[in-house]
Amino acid sequence: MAPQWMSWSSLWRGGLLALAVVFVLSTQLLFQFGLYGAWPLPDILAGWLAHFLEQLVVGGCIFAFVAAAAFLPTRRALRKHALLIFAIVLGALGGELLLMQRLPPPPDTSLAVFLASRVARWLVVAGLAYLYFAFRRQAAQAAAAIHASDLQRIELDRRMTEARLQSLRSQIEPHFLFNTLANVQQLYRTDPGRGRRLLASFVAYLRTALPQMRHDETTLAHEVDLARTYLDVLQVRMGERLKVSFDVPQELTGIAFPPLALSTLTENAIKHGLNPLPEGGAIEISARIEEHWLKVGVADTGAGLRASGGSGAGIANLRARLAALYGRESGLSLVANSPRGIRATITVPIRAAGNGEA
Amino acid sequence: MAYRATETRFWAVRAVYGLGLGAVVAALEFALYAPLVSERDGIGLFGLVLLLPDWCGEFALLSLVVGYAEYRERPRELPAPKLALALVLGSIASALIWYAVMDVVLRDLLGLGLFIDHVGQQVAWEGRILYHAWMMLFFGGLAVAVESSQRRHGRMLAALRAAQLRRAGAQQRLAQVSLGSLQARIDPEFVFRTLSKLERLYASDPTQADGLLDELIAFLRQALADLQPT
Repeated sequence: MAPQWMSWSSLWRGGLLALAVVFVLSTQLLFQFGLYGAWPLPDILAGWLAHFLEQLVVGGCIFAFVAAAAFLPTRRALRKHALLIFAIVLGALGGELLLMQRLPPPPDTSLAVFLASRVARWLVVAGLAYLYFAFRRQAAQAAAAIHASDLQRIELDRRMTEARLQSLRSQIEPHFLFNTLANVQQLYRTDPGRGRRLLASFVAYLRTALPQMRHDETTLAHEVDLARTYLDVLQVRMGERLKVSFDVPQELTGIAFPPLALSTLTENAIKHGLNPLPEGGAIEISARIEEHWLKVGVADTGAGLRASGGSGAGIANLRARLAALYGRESGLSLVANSPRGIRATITVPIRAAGNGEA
Repeated sequence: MAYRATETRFWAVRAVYGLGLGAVVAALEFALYAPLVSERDGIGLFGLVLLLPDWCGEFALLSLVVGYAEYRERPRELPAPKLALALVLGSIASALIWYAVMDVVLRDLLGLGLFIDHVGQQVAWEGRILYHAWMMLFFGGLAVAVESSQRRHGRMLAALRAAQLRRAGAQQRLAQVSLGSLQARIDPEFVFRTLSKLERLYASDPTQADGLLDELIAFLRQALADLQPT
């Protein structure tokens, strides 16, 4: 189905354009030099008005024919253009014939040549005006299509962000899961007591983690619990190689916090910081308030920034999520810890947790 | 080199536009005056040839003036007020210059009185300039309006194609992400339920529990292997 060629609003615009063109065309009368010496100004203006109305008769005729032709359904562009040229010629001919009733052509000129010269002039003027109008109209249609397409793209981007977030939330790091379970099995065979403890802490971790995976926001308390249960699992696995300490004041635990943000940092500290070192190290999770911001830090004594090769996909994802949830002011900073390791800090605005709690 | 070529092309297109529009206007003028003049003077179609240099030269000059205004603004589009100013000034200047060339130099100084007198009636020089300036303003303005709306149309079509490409890209990315998240997901609820069961089973029947854990690990190993390529 071809786009609708004519509508009432474009008819209205076309009419205005025709009026404007006829008006400007009629000013030609005022640009004849001999006029101003020979005639008084009121006569000139009256003559101009009469001339304008005469031109308006022809212009109106052309407009009527073109509008009628535009409403005719045609499919091929070429045929449509031919039809429109034909309409302009017919309109101009009709208008000039009407006009001739009042203003007969000068004597001893051939009627055909007289009409042909007038019609040719109108054909050029109306043709150019029509081209202008058609291009404008199609450009407007294209602009509307661009707008629609951009709206769809924004919707698609939004759905993509959602899908990314969703996959982030509903995912358990597969290597963590796999290694822990292999550990559980091995321990059950050699040291069932430790095996039981490991399985129990792992189930506790999942119990804490699961409800959070469904929400945009949780509390700092939940996040700290999650990190604690996660580190419990790892402590059973790593034994003496992992030392954990928490410095989270009780009064801060009700503050809203993005889910799995702390877990990402904790997992990173283990994976890139402590795991590569045979002697292991320590992790400290702390929270404090600075002005209107909550700062939650994960400091490790691991291999450090250089060894971890900067920020991985997890860190980049987390940055994007923080920016999406809280804007540019919030964020994540990674600095070197002393004497070694990384200190990662998440900064988010202070807000009491609303209904986001699971 | 390429730049020089596009530059030449720019001015050539400008000149051709002006000459073409001038020829059309000359034909219109001829058609308007021919019935009044040609039979009396007996010049017939030759009148058109006489009118051509007059109008073509003027419109070419106007076109070059407008082109120069556009050229200075490149690569940005000339804003409408500046375009209108260029049109008005260009029309007046072209009318003056071409009057000087055709009537003063060619006709009066060199005696080549071929041009306007044979076709139209003798007019005062102010009249000629005023009339020609109006014609250039009117037809030049129409042509410039058509040209700029055509350019706008072209830009819009290009932008539309770009927007459709962006949309297609977003669609593809979404499909990829959906597929990726489908692959990367290990349903946590499933793992949680299985492990709870495992915990209970280890208390009651360690052998069966060990078997179940074997199965779970085998499943996860398979899942991990599937994940590796991504």
